[in-house]
Amino acid sequence: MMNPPRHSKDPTIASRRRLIWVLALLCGMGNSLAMAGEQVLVEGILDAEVHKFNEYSFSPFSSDGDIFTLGQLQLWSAWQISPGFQAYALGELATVESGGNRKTDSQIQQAALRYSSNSSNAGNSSAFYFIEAGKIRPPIASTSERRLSTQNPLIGQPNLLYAPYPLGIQLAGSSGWLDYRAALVDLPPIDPEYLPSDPGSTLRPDVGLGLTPLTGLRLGLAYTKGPYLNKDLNVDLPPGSDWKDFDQRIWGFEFQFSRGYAELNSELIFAQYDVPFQSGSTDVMGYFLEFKYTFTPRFYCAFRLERNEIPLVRDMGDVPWLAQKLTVHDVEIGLGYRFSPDTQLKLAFRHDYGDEVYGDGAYGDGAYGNEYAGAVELYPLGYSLSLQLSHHFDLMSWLLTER
Amino acid sequence: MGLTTTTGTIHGEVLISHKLAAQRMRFRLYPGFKPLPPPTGPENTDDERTNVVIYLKSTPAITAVQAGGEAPQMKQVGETFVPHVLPIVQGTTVDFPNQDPIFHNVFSLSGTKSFDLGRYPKGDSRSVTFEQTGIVPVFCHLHSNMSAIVLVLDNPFFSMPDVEGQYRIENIPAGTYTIVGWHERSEPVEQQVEVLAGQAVELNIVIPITDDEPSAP
Repeated sequence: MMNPPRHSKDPTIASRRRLIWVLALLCGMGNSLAMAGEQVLVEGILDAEVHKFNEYSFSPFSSDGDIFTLGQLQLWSAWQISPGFQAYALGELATVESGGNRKTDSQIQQAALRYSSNSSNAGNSSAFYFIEAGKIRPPIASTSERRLSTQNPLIGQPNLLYAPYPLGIQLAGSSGWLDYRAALVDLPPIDPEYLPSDPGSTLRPDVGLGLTPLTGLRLGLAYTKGPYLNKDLNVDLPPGSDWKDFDQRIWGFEFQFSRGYAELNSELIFAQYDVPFQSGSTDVMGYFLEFKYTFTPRFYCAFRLERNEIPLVRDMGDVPWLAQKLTVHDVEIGLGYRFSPDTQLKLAFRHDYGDEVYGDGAYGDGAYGNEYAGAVELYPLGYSLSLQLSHHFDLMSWLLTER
Repeated sequence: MGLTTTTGTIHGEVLISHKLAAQRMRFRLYPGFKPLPPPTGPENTDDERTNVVIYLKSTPAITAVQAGGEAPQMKQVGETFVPHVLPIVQGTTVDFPNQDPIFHNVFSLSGTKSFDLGRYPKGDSRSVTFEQTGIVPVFCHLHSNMSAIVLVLDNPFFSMPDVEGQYRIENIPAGTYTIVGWHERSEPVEQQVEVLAGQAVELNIVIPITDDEPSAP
């Protein structure tokens, strides 16, 4: 997948070791795991990607025309502690290479305890709920599943809302035509490339509600509100104010429709950012529209249209805070071929460009080393051509097979 | 059906290893907005022996026997295919009714039969005719934890054990046959058996054939 590594940190030996330990443990425990096959699940996805960008591509990997490769392992495991009560974790190990430079990163993306009502009312009701606590899927963005290449009809992901996996507790469920989710999480959904990085940890509400008036049609709403700065920025805030006084507010609208061989996913967000020294909020809007059509059991096509107003909020030190927005459009179109239910190949073309939002503004003249300034000049006609081979595997099925 | 003077019966118990007896836990990393509880009831037993198929390898005498009856079904209920294993005779049309209040998208990429039924709502059904013999793994595009198997055979002399592990194949023309015990996670187990007219042969089948202690009922 294209997006996650752009936020990756420098290689962290400790986290890599953790993941290697987990892998070694799983291999070493093969027989024990097989005997505990009803209580343990280990699955994963292996991705291999090749990208060719031009120098104007808005992609985070735009490598001045070099070929860019990515290899990624996503591994998740779940343990049935007791009926309805599960512990699970998702880890990622990725290595990228471009122009002779290689970078490896690993992260534990999710690690949580989940209680599910599945076992308590089995078969008697369509009502369902689960409660989970730990490092969880962010409830605000419905695009999280596209981080799994097997769920993503294309190779790139929507840039609509970058939502890191926060620590939190969530109640989610459905009953009849209604679904709901309510969570308290510790991190805002921000893209650290455009907003101050390392947001402070503080609990914020994150809620969502969905209606399914008929099978295949779902309309959803989501909302979250909370601080997005951090305490290190207090020194550059107006006297008497605290970083927690500046909120981010996001309203999300989800639309999903499918029938037969067609599938449409869409999301629209409005977001407001309170910016120090600014009288009003910085408001942005973004949406994506994604369509997939399956031609044959093996072939499908998809496209995604996206328009995002990216908030650019920066502490400039001795000058007032920057509060601007950068509008980025992108279109991705792709073809997919399934070799097997677990292995697929995708080919995708992505085109993007940015609207000009800076005139002779101070921030756009390069005085601050700003690489995002003057989007039109920097990224007039970006494109990328990408190939992705992905394979899903289920370790427990393999271990539970008699050979 | 009782015994006739020209046919016989094979019956017995099926035993499987502890490894085969294990069932995978249900878990979805992304549960989705409307996940469903699993089905309960007689069609959805936890006994993995009910997913074993006992069948006779074809001979000219039994391949010619015609199968009859209604079109078998493989339902989608509680995000599960029911039954999980469906043995049929080649040429049979199988219905895939959706009984869940959500979409499913049944498909197979098997070389024996490849199909994609698209998404259809509760109460609707799609059908597939299986012309060739072989194993057809079936999946759902929307729910990666859903899987099933259609086992397409060339004769109607097959049986699936009940929850007690007992199987019974009746009205077999007298003769010597190869009987096969099949489970999706094991190599097929084959044994020779002679069927005498008007008689019932008891034959227990252990899958796989190992020195390990098989699963207790």
